Amino acid sequence: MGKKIRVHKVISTVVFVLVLALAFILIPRLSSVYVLTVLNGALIFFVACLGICVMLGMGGMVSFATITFMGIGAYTSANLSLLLKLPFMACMLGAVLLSALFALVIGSILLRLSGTFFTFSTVALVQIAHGIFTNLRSVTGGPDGMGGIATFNFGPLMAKTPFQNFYVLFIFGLLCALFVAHLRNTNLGRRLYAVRDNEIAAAVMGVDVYRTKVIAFVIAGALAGVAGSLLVHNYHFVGSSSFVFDQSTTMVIMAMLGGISHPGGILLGTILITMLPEWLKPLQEYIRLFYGLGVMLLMVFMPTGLWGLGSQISAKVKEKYRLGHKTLVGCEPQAKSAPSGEVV
Amino acid sequence: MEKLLELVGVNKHFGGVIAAKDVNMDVYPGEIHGLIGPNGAGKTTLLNLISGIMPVDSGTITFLGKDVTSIKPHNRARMGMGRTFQTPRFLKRADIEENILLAIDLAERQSFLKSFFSPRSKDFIPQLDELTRTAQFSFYLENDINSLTYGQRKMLEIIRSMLTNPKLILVDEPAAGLNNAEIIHMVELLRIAAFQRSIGIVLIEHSMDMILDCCHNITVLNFGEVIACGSPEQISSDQAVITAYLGRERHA
Repeated sequence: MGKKIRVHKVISTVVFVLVLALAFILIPRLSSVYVLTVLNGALIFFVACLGICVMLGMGGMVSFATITFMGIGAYTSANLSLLLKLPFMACMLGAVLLSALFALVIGSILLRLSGTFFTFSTVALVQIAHGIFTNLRSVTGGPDGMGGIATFNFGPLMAKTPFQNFYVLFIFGLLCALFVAHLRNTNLGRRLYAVRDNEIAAAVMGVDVYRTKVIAFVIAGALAGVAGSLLVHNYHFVGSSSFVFDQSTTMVIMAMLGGISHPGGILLGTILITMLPEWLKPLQEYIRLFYGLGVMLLMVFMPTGLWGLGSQISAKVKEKYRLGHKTLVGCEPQAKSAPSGEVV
Repeated sequence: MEKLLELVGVNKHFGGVIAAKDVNMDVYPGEIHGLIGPNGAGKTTLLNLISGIMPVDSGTITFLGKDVTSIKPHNRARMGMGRTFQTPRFLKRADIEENILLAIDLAERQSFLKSFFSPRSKDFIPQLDELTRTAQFSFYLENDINSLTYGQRKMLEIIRSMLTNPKLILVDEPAAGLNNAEIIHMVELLRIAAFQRSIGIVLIEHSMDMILDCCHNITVLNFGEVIACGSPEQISSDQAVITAYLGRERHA
């Protein structure tokens, strides 16, 4: 039995690493500059949407605020880079800390509301924040934005082309995805699931429901901060029109389409939604119609998204071929020894 | 012996409906304390007040010698107050192992970082296995929680509660929906909790056979008021209890 577990685990790990290595090597080689630029944009949104995986997929909270925290991260990184000429990593650190701090303060207030009321309050937050981003010209540059932001740099190493940007974004995306995927195995992940499924049952299992929700909101805010920082250093520019409510809904759709419960699903969703307009160029005018219909059909037929569908199928295959290790607990009832008829 | 749980003058009303009126109750370690009464007598509400899901209007609740009246439910749980529900409440889209680990998290109280960097705990398996054998069923840890039958889930909820190392478990109708064999195993589990581990148990149950068989003391509620309290023998011959359950005897 012991050997079987190891073989199964080793094979899946090897396959995972191989796929990643192939993607890392082959994608830049096989793509045109244009496709790669679009793909880089998708990777940035992927990092931000991982926050939705934590909030919605694990904690069951619908938040539209992701784009706002991405904005806070973006402007922090841009200002640190332009005014203080800090290296990229320091800018990102500042962006993550500030967006996490904002998420902590705002989350502590908004998460006192429950369910739908919380969701509506995040919609209001996005509108207010967009107003501030547009009008606080001294910090954000308003609708004209801020340009000339440094590229990704690590000491003497500078990313100059979309190809080099791809490698940077790929690595940050991978690190964030591994973090979120591993959350499920931690006590915080289990607490979030407990809060999602039943707050009262969670509380009597010793889960501080409010605190757990705030922590999830802060993690989502920090991930959005990472994405914001990646955004400004990738495009060397940031303008307030990037952080509108429309973008929030797109991000939630990305997450829902791919599957909110796993980073793999989020990746699928972000790539599909960003590439779709490119693939459907001839139908450009009807693209919104396709989105709308697609989302409706999705909610009816595939509420767990593409990834959810995939994992259902893989669970069935595993069951059929008895793959994977299972731990038996307890024993079968001894029908004869149990006295029947007489109650207690 | 030191009191585990003490309720003094607990009151609760919902609008005009009185759910608890001046309730006094004591539970000792290792005691199985029955809580019975007709439907709507306020039994589940009383459990909600004890576990802190609802605030009391007035009165005090003392647990382990500490006034917990205004303490949040998760902190009462961390002090060692377990609770099971009439219909078992588990993580829905999760396997059995994750559901059990939620209890182990409460027992071990690891920091997030430690939990992030160490592999899943397996230490609980022997104890889980032993209790599951007592309850005479079996499962694979990796299976979905919904692969268990209703009765098995109810028993697993009690077992899970025992794995949190509680001092007190509030059990709401454990036998409802179980077959006769399962009821026997359920009683066995409750007895192990009380006798071997000195856990105090507050037990709501409609099956009078089960209540009279396994409780040390019984508190009877009617319209939120304690109408009787005592040993099973005293309760089964108490006139007020018989009246509450069967109605007043009609004299010709």
